[in-house]
Amino acid sequence: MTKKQTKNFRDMSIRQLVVFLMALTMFAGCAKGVQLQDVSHPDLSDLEPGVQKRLMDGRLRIESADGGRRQQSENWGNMGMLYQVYEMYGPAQTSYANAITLDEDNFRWPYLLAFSHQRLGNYAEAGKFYRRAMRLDPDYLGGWIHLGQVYLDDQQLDKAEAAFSRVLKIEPDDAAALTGMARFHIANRHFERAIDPLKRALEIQPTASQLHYYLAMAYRQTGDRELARLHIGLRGSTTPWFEDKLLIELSALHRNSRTYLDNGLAAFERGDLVGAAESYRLALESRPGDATTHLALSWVLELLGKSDAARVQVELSLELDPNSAKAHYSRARLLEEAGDDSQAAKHYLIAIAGDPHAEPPKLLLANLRMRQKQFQQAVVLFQQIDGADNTDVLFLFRLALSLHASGDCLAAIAPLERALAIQADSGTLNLALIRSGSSCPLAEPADKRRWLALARQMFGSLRGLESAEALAMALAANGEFSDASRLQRSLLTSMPGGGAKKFVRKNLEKYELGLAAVRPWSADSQFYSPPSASLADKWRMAGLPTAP
Amino acid sequence: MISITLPKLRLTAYASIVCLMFPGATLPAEVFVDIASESGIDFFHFNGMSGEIYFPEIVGTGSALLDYDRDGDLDIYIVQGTMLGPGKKSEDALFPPRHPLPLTDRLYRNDTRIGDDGNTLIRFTDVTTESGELGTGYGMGVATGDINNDGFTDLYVMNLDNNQLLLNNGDGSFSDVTALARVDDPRWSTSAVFLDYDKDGWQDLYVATYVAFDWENRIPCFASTAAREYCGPRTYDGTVDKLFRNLHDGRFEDVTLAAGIVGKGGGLGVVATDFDGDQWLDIYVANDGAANFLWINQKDGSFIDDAMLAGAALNMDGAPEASMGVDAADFDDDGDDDLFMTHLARETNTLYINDGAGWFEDQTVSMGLAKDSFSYTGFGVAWFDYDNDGWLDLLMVNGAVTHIQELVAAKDPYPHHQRNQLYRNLRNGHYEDVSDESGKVFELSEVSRGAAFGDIDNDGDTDVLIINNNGPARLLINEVGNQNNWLGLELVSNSGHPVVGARVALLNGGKKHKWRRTRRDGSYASANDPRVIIGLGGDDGEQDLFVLWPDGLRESYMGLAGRRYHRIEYGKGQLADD
Repeated sequence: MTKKQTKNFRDMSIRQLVVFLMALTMFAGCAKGVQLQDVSHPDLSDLEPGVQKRLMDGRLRIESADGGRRQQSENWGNMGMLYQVYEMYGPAQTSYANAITLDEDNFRWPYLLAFSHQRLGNYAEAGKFYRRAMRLDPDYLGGWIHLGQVYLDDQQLDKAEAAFSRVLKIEPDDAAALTGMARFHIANRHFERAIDPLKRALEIQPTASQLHYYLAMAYRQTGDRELARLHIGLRGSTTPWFEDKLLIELSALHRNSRTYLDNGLAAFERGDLVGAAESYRLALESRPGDATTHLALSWVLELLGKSDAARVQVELSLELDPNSAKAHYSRARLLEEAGDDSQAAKHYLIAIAGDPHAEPPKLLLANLRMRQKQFQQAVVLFQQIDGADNTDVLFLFRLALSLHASGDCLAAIAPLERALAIQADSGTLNLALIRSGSSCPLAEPADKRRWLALARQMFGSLRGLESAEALAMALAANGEFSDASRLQRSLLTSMPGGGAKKFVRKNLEKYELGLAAVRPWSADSQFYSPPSASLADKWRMAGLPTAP
Repeated sequence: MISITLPKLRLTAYASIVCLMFPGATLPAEVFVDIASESGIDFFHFNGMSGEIYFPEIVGTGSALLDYDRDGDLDIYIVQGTMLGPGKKSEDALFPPRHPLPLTDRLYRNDTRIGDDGNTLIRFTDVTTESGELGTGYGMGVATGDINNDGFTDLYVMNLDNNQLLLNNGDGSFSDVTALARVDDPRWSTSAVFLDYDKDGWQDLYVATYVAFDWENRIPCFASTAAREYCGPRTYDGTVDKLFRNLHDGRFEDVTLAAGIVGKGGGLGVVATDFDGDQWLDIYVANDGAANFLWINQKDGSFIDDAMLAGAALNMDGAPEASMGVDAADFDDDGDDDLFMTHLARETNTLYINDGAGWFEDQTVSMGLAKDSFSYTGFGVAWFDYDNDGWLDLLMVNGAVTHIQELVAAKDPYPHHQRNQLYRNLRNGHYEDVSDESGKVFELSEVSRGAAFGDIDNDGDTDVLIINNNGPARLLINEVGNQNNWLGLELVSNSGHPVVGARVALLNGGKKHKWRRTRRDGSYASANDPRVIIGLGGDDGEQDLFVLWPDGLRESYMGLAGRRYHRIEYGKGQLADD
């Protein structure tokens, strides 16, 4: 088939294509003197485009084969596998049947046809095709195990025993075959005979926790309740494993946007951002126009530092779902990163309104509000955050700063003390408590004395500008203005110029007038301007958007 | 009102008798016929689906067969759905409601009578509007019992959210006494059983609760093709069932914890009978996707779950199954109650055989019940003797809970439907699927959920009411049962009120056989006729009956004539040995 023909093919409606393919199938089969079964190809139009495409490509391959019967058989068989992984068993089985008709010597197709019958509980058909497959490849041990299981389920117990025995002669340590043999004994109510093969299977595969249940029931029937209870306690759902390459190949074919999304999430969780991005791209290929997937991709790109690409994905997501709180949150982060705090704040607010329980947007907006010197609003946001409560010292520190700056200096003490309870040896937190408390006129005198003692201790062990300034504040707060002034003057001589020096000078003027400081830090202190979310913050806060 | 005439004997009758006497012979064409619409049962279930694939919409509902007006025949209560989902209105429904809004459960009074020509006219009248307070929630199932020992059957209706206890006022109406009785449970539940677990003469209530579904944290689920799909039970946490003890004054006490009812399941079906032969009622809960519970009565008000060691928690391979409907009966006529439950497609239904001491073995495969159930997702189920040959048969109603891909591809508007199945007991411990030979009702493909079993037309055989999700109710009238001989039993207390939880057996030369229990429980989301029909096959002689009453009293009642119902009153028989 030429490229042009293929293109025309794709332009046809699915229904037309199905009819056309069916006709072509019949023609192709007849033309070569082989009578193939009509495959009732299902209507794929409700499936996501990626799955549609995979199935349509399979159908096209059936018709475009140039390699003769063997190749056609391969195409039909592969088609069957695709149908099977998407649980369309009817067309899967007919496709396998055609594959067998075209190439009777290929073990794969009767084997997979048998497996599909086994999955549907058609044990007679499953047995028939497993037998056929095993004639073609008697060394494929997994087939004998499957056949044995089918016989067990079909109450052909002697045949089941023969199948498992065959495996055990070649591979005496095959746990699945040993289990099959035990099941054969249990089915015959020979519980004692089941115990040895089960114990042996467990020795070989200790993780096959399902075996404990068989053992428990066997022990129960032989009267040993204690061992029965022991094995009940150990039971689980892991079945004995046996190698079956064909079924591994089959399950690997199962791909759709969900599997790509799952792969993306798994990659993300193991830190493989590039792999995650690739999986999300594949998910979008399979199911274009999925807002959540665009958003997931944007987050990964953002973490990879590809802000422009991330922005594109966020905008695509918002086009598809304009009310998505998570997408507005992403847009806000990216705007904040680009320096547009005003627009970022707007989108944080939309995100919070859309999902009032989500805390990361509140935290980031609170930080932003601090930068904007809107401390009252920052306090409101901080106070809405439950999850950050008593364990996040940075959160407690910023809450305290905002409370103080918004005029409630007394309320600022408690979060700082909570933070210190978590991280007692933090110099910054200790100094923050001294500075905040000592610059709070409403603080209790006893507390002020306590903070002065702490300030002296800090100054003694950590001489520097910060501790000296804090000690001066504490001295002034306790009425020791001359000592405070002397210390403050000495600070001035050793400080570089700038806002901090201005703040020290102003406080000196206060101390000389017999007044205490009223602010812990200068307004332009870095503490009042939390940076926009760092990569680390983003990692910490990133929970990837889940499926819609 | 509509009435229909059932011919007393069809042309196939002779052939039927021949076939029933000779197992293996061909069955008559119509073992059951559906007369729902002709008889006035116009119920059409509304599941409130709007295309959002909400998990609850695929789960309901059931019905109850009860004689609410005590006029001697079975009336019908059917549980209805409502629009589903936050902010959804009925205009959003993919399949509009067929009943006037607001939707409520419906009550149909049995007005069956014998016509002038001697034929039975089966007729029901919808009395919903004149019956006081009925279920109004997003309904799931219903259980029946008599909470105040007044002889009138009360209803416990299970919903997606708050359950309702409807007290039969005795005047044809019901009152919602949930709050007063303190038996509300806002969690999703589908099946419950009234039982007197402490032998105080009052019916207590066990409610099997399902999963912790939560609108706010609804979890999306997907099919193999990545299309949206209904979730399974494992998507959500299971919940702990509830046990309420009757305080004899219209109130109940929640004794769940005190009774040792712990462990999260995912209960969809429940039965109460004496599994271990100690004459105390035990409780078996069929959990969906989790190990089933076997609550063994400790005779002190508490229970211990012994399902694991008893071999009734998991299937023969040690795997929990998606249990939906359940029934307990002595199918093998060895004097103890066995268990049967329906499951998801790709699992088999499961038969657990009781060894008499409360230990079970999964014998599904060996009894021929595995293969033919593999493709079906079963819900309502019961052991009953449809042909009155004396052996308990099985009927299970089916309907998938996920989209059947081939129906989706065929553009089926509701791609979950499956055929129901009838299995005949071959009298040798094995069963045979006889659906194909049992009439047109078994050719129907619907999304069946609840099935309630009882003798609707009082003709001595068991009929079946099937509730279809997003479909019509089907009233299956048994066409063959009473062509064999039968013995009908209505066990009553010395106040004349129906008794459940008793066991009866025929006496034959001192040997007891054909054990049956009086029950309303079992199946799925439904309540059954508490009367007992024992099939007698070709035996048209008088029968001697042994009764083991719930309080342990053993009595015999001699010389009961066949082909009629007998009122068996507590204390009026002869004292009997074990």
